[in-house]
Amino acid sequence: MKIAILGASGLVGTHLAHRLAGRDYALKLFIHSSGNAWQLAPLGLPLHQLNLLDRAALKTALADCSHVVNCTRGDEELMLKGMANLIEVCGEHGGQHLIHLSSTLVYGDPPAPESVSENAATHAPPASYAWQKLRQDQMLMAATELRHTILCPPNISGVQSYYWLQILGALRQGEFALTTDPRRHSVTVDVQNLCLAIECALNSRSSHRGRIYITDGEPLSWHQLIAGLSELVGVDPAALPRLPAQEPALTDSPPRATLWRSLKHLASSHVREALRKDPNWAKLDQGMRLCVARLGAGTENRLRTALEGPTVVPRTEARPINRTSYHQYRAVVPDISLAQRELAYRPEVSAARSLATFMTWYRHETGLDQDYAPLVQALYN
Amino acid sequence: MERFRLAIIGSGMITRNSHLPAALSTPQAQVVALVDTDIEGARSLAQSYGIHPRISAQLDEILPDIDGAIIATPNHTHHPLGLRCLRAGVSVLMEKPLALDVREGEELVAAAAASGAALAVGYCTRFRRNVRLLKRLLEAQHFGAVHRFYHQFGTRGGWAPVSGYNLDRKRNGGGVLITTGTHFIDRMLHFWDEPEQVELLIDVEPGGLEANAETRFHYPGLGLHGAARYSKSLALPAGMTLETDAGLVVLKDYDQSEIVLRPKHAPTLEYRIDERQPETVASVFVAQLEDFIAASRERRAPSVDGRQGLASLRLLERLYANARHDRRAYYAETVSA
Repeated sequence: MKIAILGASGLVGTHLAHRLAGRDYALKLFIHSSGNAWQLAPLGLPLHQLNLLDRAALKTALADCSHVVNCTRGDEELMLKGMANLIEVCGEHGGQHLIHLSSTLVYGDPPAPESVSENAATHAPPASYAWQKLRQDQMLMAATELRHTILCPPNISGVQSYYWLQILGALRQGEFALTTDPRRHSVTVDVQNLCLAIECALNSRSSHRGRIYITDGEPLSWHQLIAGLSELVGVDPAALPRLPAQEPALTDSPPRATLWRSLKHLASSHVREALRKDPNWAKLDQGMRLCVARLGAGTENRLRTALEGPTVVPRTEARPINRTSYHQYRAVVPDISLAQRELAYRPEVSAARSLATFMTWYRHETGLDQDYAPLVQALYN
Repeated sequence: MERFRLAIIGSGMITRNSHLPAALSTPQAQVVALVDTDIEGARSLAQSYGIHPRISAQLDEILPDIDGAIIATPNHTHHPLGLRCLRAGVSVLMEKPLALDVREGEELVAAAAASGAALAVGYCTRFRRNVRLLKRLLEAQHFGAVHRFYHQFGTRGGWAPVSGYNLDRKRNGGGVLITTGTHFIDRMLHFWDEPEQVELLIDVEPGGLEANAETRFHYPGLGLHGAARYSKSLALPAGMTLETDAGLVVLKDYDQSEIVLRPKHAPTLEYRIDERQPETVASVFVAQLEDFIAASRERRAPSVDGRQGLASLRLLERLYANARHDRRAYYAETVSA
């Protein structure tokens, strides 16, 4: 078995590389750039820079690998075209086993109650990250000749978890709103559990072609999670703002594309301001403004309102609410019995232990467990 | 006065984003040559700034026609390139660190002394207004005694040289301590000279490429102890804190950040300290370059000269000689707990 890890310098890729190297698997590590690959250097393995969009290079790179684990993440082109290239190349090599990481987000955010099982309908807003993951899954499922496993994790927790670091940042800023419902669960997968699942998939003979949920099993409640994370940043959970009972409507979703909206944008003040830097456009703009002014103040105001919209005064809030707070509306706890049957997956790290380990790691790596902790703390305030 | 004929050796990110714009913005210098083994890269860089210097892969070709050179190449090339310039009487502004080790650094300093050329080291943060002000405040004992200091800087990802030499200890000279820690080490030496005792904890076996480093510095004669932490796996807000008689002094690691004092007698307050009539300072790279040019012309040592660069190398060697592996197996610890 020779295993290619694509995206080896990411959170999962790095942990996976260390785990598998420690168990004497033959590995080939691929990274996008060296900036994030410091923790791979001690493995003493060559680090190959590879762009998934370079199909020829991808084909050469993976030619001698029996298994490919895709831990990459990037912009839409990389996610979709890169995935298409990867599927084609693995299909051409024949006999390769591709293990891909999907996301529970493909089932919607928040997911519907029936999403407790992988068979539920998917729901991903166009052009979103979830939509990209869904498209990747669909491409892979359609590749009937290619042996593959699609692991479907939620947010990843544990040592170095970007997700928990994001929540820590929100807590520190006072921008995390906590639910009043102590039963709401934070569904995550510890990075070690996810690596275990990948290892199980590598050694499995399962021919299951759909997604397979991977979580820690029994989740923590949000109250338990926030109690732990709050301790790290010296925040009192009781003093946190309260999460609204219902998720507010998205105010920052991309606007619907229409011709009128596009024309209005061309005539908007900030576009015209940019155009006025050119002397010809400046003359034209001045001419147009004189014409409009001749129509009278009332018409001028109505035209301005039609183009720019009314003046909006945002309500003063004590603090904006960080979007991670809204993850508390995700009420579904995915059932991992399929992973247990198909992959013999048994989580090694409980959610509680994942949090404890993260807290130990964070305290140590930031110096908060040292005698000079007050000097450290001052840099965060 | 004729403009200083400047060559820039190395057309990577630091040249593109910092040295070249600085050189183009000062009336004192003229960029007459770009030197890089990647000729196309150098050409593309020149085009993107609309300039027409000589482009060459051969340093020796251009040495007779320049007054000074900025060397912004991988660390293991500093010594050979620097020697060639200095022996030809060409002043050198060397990107940090000065060289890979003390021996190489000593040779560069000796070559500069022999030829009379100026040798500056690119510890550009010394040209920050806030650093110069802090130095004056410390010298005047404005905060009373300083008992402890702490510095940190961490980024996940970031700087990724095309050659990937950052991941090769032999070419980089070390790990995160070299890549990220040397600016502060230079400032620490500038503030307090050499510590009597040092300790270094790294996340790999000594001799490996560390992604995380924690250092301790002890100045028993001054009653001063300090620590610093650098990471390539975790974002740590960059800055320094000083525990002083007057209270906690905080200086975040940005060119424009203010010196902040949180007084002991009123810890909920913050005093921001600045000159009543602050001098206008161009970018630190411009200030550094102009200082280098002046030193070269006046045949004197630059503000951050080779001797100081060598002091940094000595301290780095002491640190690595005292390195211990910080063996943390976090998941194993929580099982046993």
